[in-house]
Amino acid sequence: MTMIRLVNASVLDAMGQQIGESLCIEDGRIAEAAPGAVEVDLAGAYVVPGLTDLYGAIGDVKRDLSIAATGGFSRVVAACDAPQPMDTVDSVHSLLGRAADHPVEVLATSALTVGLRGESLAEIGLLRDAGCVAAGQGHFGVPSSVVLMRAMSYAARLGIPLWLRGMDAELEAEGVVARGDRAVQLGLPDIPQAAEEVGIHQIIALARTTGAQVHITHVWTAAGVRAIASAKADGLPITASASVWNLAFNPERSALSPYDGRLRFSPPIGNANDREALVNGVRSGVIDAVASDHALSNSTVLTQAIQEAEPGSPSRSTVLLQLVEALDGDVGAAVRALCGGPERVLGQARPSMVEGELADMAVVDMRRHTLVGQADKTMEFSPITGVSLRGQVRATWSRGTLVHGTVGSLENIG
Amino acid sequence: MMLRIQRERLGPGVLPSNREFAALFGLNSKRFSAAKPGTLVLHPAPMNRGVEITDDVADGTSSVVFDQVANGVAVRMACLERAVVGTP
Repeated sequence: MTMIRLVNASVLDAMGQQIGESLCIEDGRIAEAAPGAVEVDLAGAYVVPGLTDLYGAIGDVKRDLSIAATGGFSRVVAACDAPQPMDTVDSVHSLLGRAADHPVEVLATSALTVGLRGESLAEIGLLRDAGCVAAGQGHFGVPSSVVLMRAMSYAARLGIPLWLRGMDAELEAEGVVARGDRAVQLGLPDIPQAAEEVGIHQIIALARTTGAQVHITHVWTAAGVRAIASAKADGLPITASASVWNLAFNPERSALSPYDGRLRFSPPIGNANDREALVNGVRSGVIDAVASDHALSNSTVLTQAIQEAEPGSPSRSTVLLQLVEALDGDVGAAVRALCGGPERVLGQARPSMVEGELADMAVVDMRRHTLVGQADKTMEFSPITGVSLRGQVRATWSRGTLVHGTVGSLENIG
Repeated sequence: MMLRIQRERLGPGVLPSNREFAALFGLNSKRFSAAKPGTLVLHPAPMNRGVEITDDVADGTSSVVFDQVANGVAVRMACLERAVVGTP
């Protein structure tokens, strides 16, 4: 088997730190450089560890994992709420069974409550035994503090991590966009930022009481970031993540009509202060990770108004590029939020970029551009279709297998 | 010593299902095999067979559940008599 030596590269580790300028691959493994290796000049492109998507929907496993590979992901954690609540052992076995043969790794998370209705506990112990790495409510909350506290106590007893979104269901009610001038101008029902602040403080207080291991997902407000920073400063062992949309997408700059169904997100996109707080949170580490919150492509959003549309958008193929743009070109910080951060949340550090380990990495060329929707047709249902993003994921290896791109194409990089 | 799960007293969110309780916490022959030789199995009854205890353990040679239940009747009678009649 031919040894390939990627040279003139910027090799980053999971925390986004540069650890070298070249890397060898032989038989799908990172290898020590040896004479006879075929050199591939990456002309300054980045070689980063395979990314982990902490939450997003998986529908058609083969298609969705292929799309993930085009975005540089080698591991995807399936959301517990899409396309169906993951609240039965059979549903977990079905997902993991369908994904078993694909090189891109799939992890499952379970619903915390039956049907995600927030009323009665799902069998999270059996679901854990079936392979789920955490339990949560996805985009949904637990309306009753009593039920939430009991669920957190039970999960703590079993050592099951909980992934919870800070939200007050009554305050969110029928809201469509974040509270602010834009909601008033558009005449759309709003969601106050306080809905998240109340929810996060509730989770933090109950985590202290029950000892539950908590990861706060879908953070979207500046107040939420402050609450998490304060809890971490107090020594509470929580982690937090945000959807790339809440951090990197500004609907006010969209060429779409403000009433376009593709602009509906849950949680809603916050104002400029909220987005800035999320970006700073990623830089400082208060926000440990960024997820795609990938929604399955849905053609109805093209004809529905924002009030009627299902929230969410496809995004897995563009997360890294969207995040790099939001971080003003800081590829290292983006890699940390999509690699080292998710590993910390999962408690599963993966050795990578180390001799002898399976190649699990992506080549990212920031001198090229990606026209959104051109290669990944599902992005036609996203609000950034047709937008040119700086950067291109040229190749992805997952668990030793090249799952996106070709080595030959890397010859023409730059 | 096993006890009946009193689901009628439990509110929502305390326990997912009898099936999960049995799988994670119930006393079955595999778990009991880890006990020290000579260990006795007790339960004041009524038992939720298949929930907190399996049939083979409840009816097994190490079980003294039915002796415990029979003795429990006598003990309760004695307690009631002392409470009602007083010390002789």
